[in-house]
Amino acid sequence: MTMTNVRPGPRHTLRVMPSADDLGLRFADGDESALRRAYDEHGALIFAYCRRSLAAASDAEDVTQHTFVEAWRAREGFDPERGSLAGWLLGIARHKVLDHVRSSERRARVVARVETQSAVTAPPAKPDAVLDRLVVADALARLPAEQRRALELAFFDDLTHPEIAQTMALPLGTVKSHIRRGLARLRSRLEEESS
Amino acid sequence: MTHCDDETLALLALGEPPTHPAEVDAHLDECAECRAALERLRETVAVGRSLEPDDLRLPAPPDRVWDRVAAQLDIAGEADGADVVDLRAHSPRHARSGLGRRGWVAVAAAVLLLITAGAVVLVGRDSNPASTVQEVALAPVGSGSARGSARLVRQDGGLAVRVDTTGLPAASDAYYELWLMNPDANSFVSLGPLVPGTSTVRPLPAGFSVKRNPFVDISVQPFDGNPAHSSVSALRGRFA
Repeated sequence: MTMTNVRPGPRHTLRVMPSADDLGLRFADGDESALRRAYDEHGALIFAYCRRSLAAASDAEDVTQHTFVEAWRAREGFDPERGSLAGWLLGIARHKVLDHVRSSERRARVVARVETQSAVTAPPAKPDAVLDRLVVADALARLPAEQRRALELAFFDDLTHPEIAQTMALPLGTVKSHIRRGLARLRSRLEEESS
Repeated sequence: MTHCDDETLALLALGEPPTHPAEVDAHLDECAECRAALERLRETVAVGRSLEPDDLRLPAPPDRVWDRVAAQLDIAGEADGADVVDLRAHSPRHARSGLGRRGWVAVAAAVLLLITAGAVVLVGRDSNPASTVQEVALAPVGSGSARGSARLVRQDGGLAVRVDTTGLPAASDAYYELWLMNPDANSFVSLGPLVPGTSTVRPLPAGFSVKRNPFVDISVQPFDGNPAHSSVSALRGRFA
């Protein structure tokens, strides 16, 4: 056995690739433990989205609950080959949030009509800007550590590629590759969301 | 010239100069495809740069959210760190049982039969649907015309049981008590006394598993100072 066998080979890269992962497959298959895993894995993202889109914390809890309940009931409609589980859950959450906002607006209008005989204009909800940020933050958090670190230095510290290479003590080519892959991953998550 | 490679586009999107700026500029001028790809990456970078510390550390939802998901879907699995609170271990009820385990298993079997016969009704209507997790009918144990309903409701950030009854006879030497019990009928948790004809709402201890203790039981308790279940039940139902 030579030392080269010890070095991480292409397998390392494969693990990095976004793919129809095991969890998504088990979820679609109706494995109950996969629902729990999905909740542990993506509950914070869904809850954060609901928290930021809805005024009341209790509403955010309700919509988070209903999102996972519906996701489970509709699991046969989830195709792990076509998108990420997180994206699918967010799609459901987005509909639930919009439904919730609309029905609150209806209630507010009814109440306003009764109280003042005039229509009330509810504050517009902008869930999609919130969604974009959370999706990118979530995708960033799930990148392999070096890719994430390189992108964080580019985003938050405004470092250039050569500066990032120096900071991380990596060859420039490696940094370029990390940033290219990381950005591509973030972009595909964003596009999955807006499709 | 061929299309811009992905590393060049990534550099441009981040506002850094590519290796051969003049060639890249010339290509972008005439290639809509590369311009569109660059635009998409720029949008991604803009969102990335707009992130704030709060976006990067998202708190998990409270455990009760999972408890409600599991309760609504009737699946097992407790939230991390939460498990069944076995209140019996801390109460004198543990020591005494009127019927004994075998008797209760028989009672539970009878209850199961009753329920399979269609005593459980899921009622989807409520003035505030979001607050009711589920509702079940309570049927008399043995004979009697008493009826009732039990609802699992969300209240003050936790779960609670709300019971409404009709037709429970008033008694001067006994009172009614609300319990949740497991299918083996060897674990009882008292939710306190219940006054017939009124709505009784009792919060559940955090982490309490309705899934494992799905039977709602209303017992007739003599005023004898004994906190254990009297073994005489008036109404029963089962949460899904």
